[in-house]
Amino acid sequence: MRHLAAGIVVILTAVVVVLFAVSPRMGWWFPPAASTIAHSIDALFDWITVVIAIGFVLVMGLLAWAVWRGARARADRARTSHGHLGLEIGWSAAIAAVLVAIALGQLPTWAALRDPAAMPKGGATAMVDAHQWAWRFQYAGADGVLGTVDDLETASELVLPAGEPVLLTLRSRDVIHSFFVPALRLKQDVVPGRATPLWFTIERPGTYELVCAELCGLGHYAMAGRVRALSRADYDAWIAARVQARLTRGTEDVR
Amino acid sequence: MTTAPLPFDSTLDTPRAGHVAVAWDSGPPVATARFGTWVFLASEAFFFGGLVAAYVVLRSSSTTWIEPLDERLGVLLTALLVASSLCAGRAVRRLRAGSRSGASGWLLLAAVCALAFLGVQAFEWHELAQAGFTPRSTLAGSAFYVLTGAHGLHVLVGVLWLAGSGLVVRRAGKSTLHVELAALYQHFVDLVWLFLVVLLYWL
Amino acid sequence: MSSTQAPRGFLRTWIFSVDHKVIGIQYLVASASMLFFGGLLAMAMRWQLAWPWTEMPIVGQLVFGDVGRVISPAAYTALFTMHGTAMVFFAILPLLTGAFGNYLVPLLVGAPDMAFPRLNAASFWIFVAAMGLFFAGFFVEGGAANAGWTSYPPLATLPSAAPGSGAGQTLWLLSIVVLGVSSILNALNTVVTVVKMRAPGMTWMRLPLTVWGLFVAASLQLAALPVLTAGGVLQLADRWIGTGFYTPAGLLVNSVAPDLVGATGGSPLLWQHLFWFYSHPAVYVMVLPAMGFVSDILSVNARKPVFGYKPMVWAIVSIAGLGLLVWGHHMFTSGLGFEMGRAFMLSTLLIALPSAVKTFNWIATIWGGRIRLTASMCFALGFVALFVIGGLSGLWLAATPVDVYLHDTYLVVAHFHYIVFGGTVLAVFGALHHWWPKMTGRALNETLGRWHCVGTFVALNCVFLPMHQLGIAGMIRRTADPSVYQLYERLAPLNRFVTWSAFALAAWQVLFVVNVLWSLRAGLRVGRNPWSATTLEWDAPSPPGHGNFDRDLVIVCGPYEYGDAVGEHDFRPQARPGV
Ligand code: HEA
Ligand code: HEA
Ligand code: CUA
Ligand SMILES: [Cu+2]
Repeated sequence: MRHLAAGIVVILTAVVVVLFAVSPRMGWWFPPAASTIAHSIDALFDWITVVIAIGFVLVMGLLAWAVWRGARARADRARTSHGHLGLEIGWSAAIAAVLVAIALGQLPTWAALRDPAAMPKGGATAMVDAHQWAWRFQYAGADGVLGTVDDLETASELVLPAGEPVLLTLRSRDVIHSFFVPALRLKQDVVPGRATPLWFTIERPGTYELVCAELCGLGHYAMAGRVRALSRADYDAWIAARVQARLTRGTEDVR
Repeated sequence: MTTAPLPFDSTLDTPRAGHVAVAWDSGPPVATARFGTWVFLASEAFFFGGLVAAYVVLRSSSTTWIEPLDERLGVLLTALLVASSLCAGRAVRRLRAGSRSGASGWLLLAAVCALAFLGVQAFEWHELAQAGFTPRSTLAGSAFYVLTGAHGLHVLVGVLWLAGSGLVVRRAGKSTLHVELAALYQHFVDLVWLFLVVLLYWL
Repeated sequence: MSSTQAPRGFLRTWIFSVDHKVIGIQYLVASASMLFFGGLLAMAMRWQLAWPWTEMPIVGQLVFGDVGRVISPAAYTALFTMHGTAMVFFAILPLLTGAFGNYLVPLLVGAPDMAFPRLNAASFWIFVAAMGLFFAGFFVEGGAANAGWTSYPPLATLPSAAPGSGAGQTLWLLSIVVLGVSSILNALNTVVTVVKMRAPGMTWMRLPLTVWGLFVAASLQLAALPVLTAGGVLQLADRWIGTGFYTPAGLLVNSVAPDLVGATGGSPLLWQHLFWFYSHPAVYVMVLPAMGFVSDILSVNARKPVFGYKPMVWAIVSIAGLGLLVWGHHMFTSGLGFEMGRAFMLSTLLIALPSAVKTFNWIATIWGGRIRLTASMCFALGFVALFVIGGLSGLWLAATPVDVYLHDTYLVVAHFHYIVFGGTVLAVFGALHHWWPKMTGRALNETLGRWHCVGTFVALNCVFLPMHQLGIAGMIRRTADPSVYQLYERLAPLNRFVTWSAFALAAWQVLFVVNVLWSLRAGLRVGRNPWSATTLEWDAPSPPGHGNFDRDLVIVCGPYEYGDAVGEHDFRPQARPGV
């Protein structure tokens, strides 16, 4: 029985370690990072994982060992010991150090993500409009200003320039949604009644899946979208084409 | 290996003489009930704390917050509730002095004051509603009616409790603990109101 | 239970009794059934996640007959909402504070009963009423509440936004508010009992950690629960009167202004603050008593005192204290400000410290012990292992930027199931094996118990471990059909594996049910102190009669006097040895 008890703990530990080791190869891992912030988030995740792993293996090892040793049949009694102040202080200090490290380690990334001071100057690149259960996006039209009659509009696909900071304004008309692009490691709830800013830099052109991450009713699971990143040149061309199409084909917008 | 057979210990098993038949069904001792009431009121305080916190958050983040309230009514309401709580306190003192009838009188008076409070508040609600200030009209309205309403319900409980113990306490031999607790509760309701009235009428 | 009294009718004994032991068992039966029910809902959810939109055998016929035995999107959202609600509010919390709290607290502090027996009975029957409201939700138009157990407005408050947000949500709110009243009465009773009714000599620093856990959890309830009630009252007002606390201006649900809206200008985030101000402390209410049980079980079966009793007590107290200051970590992506996020990140990491201290003290407790691997001991060891996993994944979530990615993914689901099922539920099973003899006078079968433990341990790891991978791969929670996104293509096999494991896990619980029924008939009869334990309950008959103790108690020492230095046995009871 004691072999079983200690064995299970050891096996579990091994399984956990192995599973996490193979997951990237199995595709059970982060999608490839596609934004600048994504790299610092992944780095943060990785070294926190290392810290956790050490704590985990350590604690499980001690646990298994204590059980395996302790459960042997023995006639004598255990030593009566009510504690040891030195030990308490020791491990408290060690853990405290680890926690402080984690706390400090994440501050720069959090600031880059959310500190208003880090928000790119100049107006928003696009307006994101979430509603049950689809996404709509507006871009500045011919006049180059957002929120005017000649705004361009696309549904379910958000087109953005790559390689430069972009600023989005997120709005919802009905319930709370959440703008989640796994490849960019970005998630921001879209709360009705307020305009939420979100900024980031996409590294390279490509198409990335957009997921609604906040429960928003029956269609929540299917509220999918895309983010298509273009090089600056392509992006300008795309906008220009849209403006043209609008002038010729009138306000009847092309989806 | 498996565990050693459990040492079912029968040495302690010989039935002992002198079973302490605890006279528990006669209810808990006074000190316990008093402490229990304090703990309950503390928890109640957190309830109003939650409501007030919500009020403060909403009001501070709102640009259009109008409460068309009449301060004079606020003063009157406060006076009535303070009076009720003072009477209740008086009742306890009379009781300590051994006069059950005196206590009963003060308790009923306290209940009347509290009832008057509710009356005035009903009138105020009616007036405000007439003036178009309702829970549905504005957020300020929502907050005002829910806060005063939640407090009003507590006052109602107070009225019943005070009146009830006012009637019971007359009968000699009956426990007098409930008088003390009723008074304590009334003080609490009064205290909460002092916060609300400042928040709603003067800030 | 009233062995020392003239036999009374079934009703007087089991239904309308005010004896804390009977009420505890009433709570146990009620909340265990809710655990079972919540588990069944989970099975339906797992079916959908493994084979979306396919006919579900048997159950499908019974429950979803009208929609062709297939779970509809509406049904799925209701499923996890009611699963979470049943498990948190109606199974785990009452199992700990109601069942064990009622049964154990008076026995362990040496009191004849709870401070307010009638209030105690009242709290149970109010709990039953809340259960009634909870189940009523399934039968109203639009179906049960389906805005998640967190019930975020406006989704929860606008009937036009979700079918369950009509009558179903109203009943959900009512059940939570009513349940709140019951829990407050229960917590009140616990606190007063511990403060006022300890036996002579039972000083604070001689209380078993089980009592500390239950006492601090009760205090936490008293402080935090009323705030949730306040929030619930506001949401009810929004629904019934048309107040605007949670309703921002200018809403359009599928491009029409939603009905019932009166005043507007409110804030959806206000609800999130009020909800989490309670529901984060609630998660510690769901673990502190379990930590207490585990500490006691480990010490008894390692035949060694709890290592660092005082640090353990301070850890419990500080977890509770800090627990009131970390609720914001559920809102990192909600639009909480930059500074706020930073503050909540710090407090959240801080709270890991006392938890770590407890973990190390548990290991030090069994270190060099003379371990008896009883069934209860196996469950207690399982708790430690799985609490560690659940706790460590909490550190990822506490790191704000990482949480921005992991929030609302299955990693969160993995995190809390590890602690709540892997941790608390295992601790509950352990506690049942430990105290069942005291409750019934008969022991559960040890061998069966050990196998139940091993199987459950293996199965639940198979269920919840892969959820970490799902989450890291970005799979969101509360989704009825992950196959919508190419992103999740590679995850389908994992989801199916999780589902098969969940079925196995559920099936395995039959061993436990069998064990319970078997022991009631044929379980080994036990004396007062089957485990050679020190705390007071083992000084009373098994089961204890009305008034609990059949001699007056004088407490002469702390709760954990085990080992070579405590006298002629290897344990020294807290109460003065038999007269
Ligand atoms: C009993 C329940 C319980 C417990 C005890 C905890 C404990 C913790 N929880 Fe958990 N949590 C939940 C239940 C619980 N949680 C639930 C139900 C949710 C989701 C609600 C919902 O959205 O539906 C949630 C969600 C949740 C979130 C929000 C995630 C999100 O939605 O984005 C966060 C974020 O910070 C978090 C953090 C933590 C932390 C840091 C701890 C810490 O207390 C853990 C501390 C423990 C340890 C750290 C392990 C032991 C220590 C060691 C082994 C020593 C080694 C240590 C180091 C190396 C540092 N939890
Ligand atoms: C708090 C306790 C708790 C417990 C114990 C469980 C148990 C389980 N949960 Fe739970 N779960 C939650 C709380 C809990 N859950 C919450 C709060 C959510 C979030 C809801 C939301 O998003 O709104 C959630 C969400 C949730 C999801 C995510 C749904 C989604 O986001 O789409 C999933 C998916 O697999 C899941 C699965 C399971 C499974 C397979 C179990 C299995 O462990 C169940 C196995 C158990 C049984 C089959 C019953 C066995 C019991 C007995 C036999 C009786 C024993 C008797 C005694 C103990 C006396 N749960
Ligand atoms: Cu929109 Cu979920
Ligand atoms: Cu939390």
